[in-house]
Amino acid sequence: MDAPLRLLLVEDDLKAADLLVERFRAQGFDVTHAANGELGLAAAQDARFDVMVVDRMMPKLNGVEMVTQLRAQGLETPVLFLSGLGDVEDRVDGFAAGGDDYLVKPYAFAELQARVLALSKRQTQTPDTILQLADLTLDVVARRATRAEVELELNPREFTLLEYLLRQKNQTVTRTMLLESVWNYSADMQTNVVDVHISRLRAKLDKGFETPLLHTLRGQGFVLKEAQS
Amino acid sequence: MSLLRATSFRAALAYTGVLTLSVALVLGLLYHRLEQHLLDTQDAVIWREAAHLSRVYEQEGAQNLAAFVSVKSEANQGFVVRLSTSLGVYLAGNLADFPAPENTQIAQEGWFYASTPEAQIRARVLQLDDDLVVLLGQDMHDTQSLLATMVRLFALALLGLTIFGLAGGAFLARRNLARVAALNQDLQPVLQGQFASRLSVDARGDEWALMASHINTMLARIESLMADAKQVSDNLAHDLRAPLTRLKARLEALLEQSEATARDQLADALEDVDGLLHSFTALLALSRLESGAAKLTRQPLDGAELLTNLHDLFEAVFADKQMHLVLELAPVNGLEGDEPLLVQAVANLLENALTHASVPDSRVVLALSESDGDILISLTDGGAGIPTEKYTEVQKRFVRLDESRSGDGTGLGLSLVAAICRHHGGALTLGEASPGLRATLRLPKRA
Repeated sequence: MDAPLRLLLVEDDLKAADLLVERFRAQGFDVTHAANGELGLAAAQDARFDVMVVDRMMPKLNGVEMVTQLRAQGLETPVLFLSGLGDVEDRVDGFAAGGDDYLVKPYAFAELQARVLALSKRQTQTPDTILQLADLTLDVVARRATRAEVELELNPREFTLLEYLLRQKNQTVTRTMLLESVWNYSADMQTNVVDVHISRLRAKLDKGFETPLLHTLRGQGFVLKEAQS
Repeated sequence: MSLLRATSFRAALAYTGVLTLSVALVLGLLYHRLEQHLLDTQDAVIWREAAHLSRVYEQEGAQNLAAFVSVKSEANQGFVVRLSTSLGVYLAGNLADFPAPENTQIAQEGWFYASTPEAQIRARVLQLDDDLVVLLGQDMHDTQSLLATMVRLFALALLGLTIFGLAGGAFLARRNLARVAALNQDLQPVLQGQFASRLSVDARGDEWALMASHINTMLARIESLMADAKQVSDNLAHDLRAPLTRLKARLEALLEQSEATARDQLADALEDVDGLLHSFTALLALSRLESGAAKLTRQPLDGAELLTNLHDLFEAVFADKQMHLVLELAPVNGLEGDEPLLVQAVANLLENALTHASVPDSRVVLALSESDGDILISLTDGGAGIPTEKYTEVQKRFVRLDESRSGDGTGLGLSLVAAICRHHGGALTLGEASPGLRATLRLPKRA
């Protein structure tokens, strides 16, 4: 990251906010925290942010009302709603107010970070069509994947999975993120259905190569990166 | 609804019946009195003639009486008179022969009816002295035609009454049916779960309006109770999920910073938190569904696509356990509902098959079909199945057949599937697939 990403966090749960601020700072973000909707509104009007993370339920001005007001003032900073509610109707409320993404508590920090990054990218860049990591190359348009010049035989689902992992390279990706992004499911699945797909992909991607690229982080998820830390 | 089955029409029918019957009774009585009156009037004329005749006989003798009878019999229309000896020999009058016994019919008080060649008469016989007898009678034609006219009029009146009664009943029933239909129309959104909608209350302020306003009061009460329930579950969600989320975040942060030796333990702790959150999410989803706090989103769905995608996701997991997940899709259309919920339901069934029916080389069939206007999504496994008597029990919350509760699973999976089915107006049924269990989601088709 060249310039640090400027993030506004609007969250009334101070303990949760401290933890988030700390973790975002550790990842190199420039974080400002506002403890309620009114303060959040003022902060957003004062300074320019790249992304806002807003809790939906807050005293005084709630998240949805706050974002509705900001949008009415023409502010188009991407917004991710955090919420303890997960119903479709609540999601719809959030999107109708001008939210760009919606994350239901509990979430993994990796997921929040990935979504925040995705939101900030969405505004500034068009997605790359050639993705690379070490000797792995993925041509999104030609639907072709090669590693060390050798073509990988991937089925369409595996290709989508690899593309997603590659776009989030060097970042932890959770099972929930994969279910939502690759299979488009928001259902809460208990068995690790995703793991089997990952191990099949790993068999095609890493077998016969000296450096493995696809790693499993126990208790967290998966990461596509060059070397094990 | 059919008119004949409408309460108000039946009431009108019964009322018309009773009314017609009582009017018929009154008219019958009237007819009887009228007939009596006509006969009395007629009889009075005969008595007067009789008195006249006997006076003539007493004052002027038999010879003059015969002449008088001859004059009388020609002059008076409808009047029948016959003077004879006591043995019946004709002396004078307009009736040549005494009516034969087979043509006569005895009535009360010495009167009889007789058919003569000319007419039907009502007559009686008077003894003037030992030798002379006179028969006096009156043609019944006028009286009878008057009575017949009365009968026709009365019948017409009764017919008219019945027709008007039935027409009135049908009219009232139609009006009532229309109001009931309007009421049912207004109730449709409520049946769909929109408890915020209200019935329109008619300005007439009649009993229907009163009932509608009572129903509205009930709806308002239900709505506020449901809002309370939603508020409680929302607060619960917020209050409990927030600390759990923090706990998860702390564990994740620790996992990243810690030594390799502590990592395994932290990862275990994280997995436990995830399990807890999973149970919690399922429980919360279940209460929202069962309290009716969750609205049903109805969107048209492609059942085949829904199951194909789930097959695509799960097939590899089944293969990993040497099981075969097979799709059997019949062409159906008209499936509608909340896609995430239906995906969750089928995923729960698939996860159940993975954990409880894990038999190598067994076939697990995910099928889509149609029956009696319902859409059926079924999963048939090749496991040990569930004893029939436990079918209801396993759909309850936290019930697990594994008594030790040591295995995986929250005991909420099937309850959530059942709740999702009910939420869609359908039902979850379990059945024996020998071997194995067949779980079927029965969902009503789009109307």
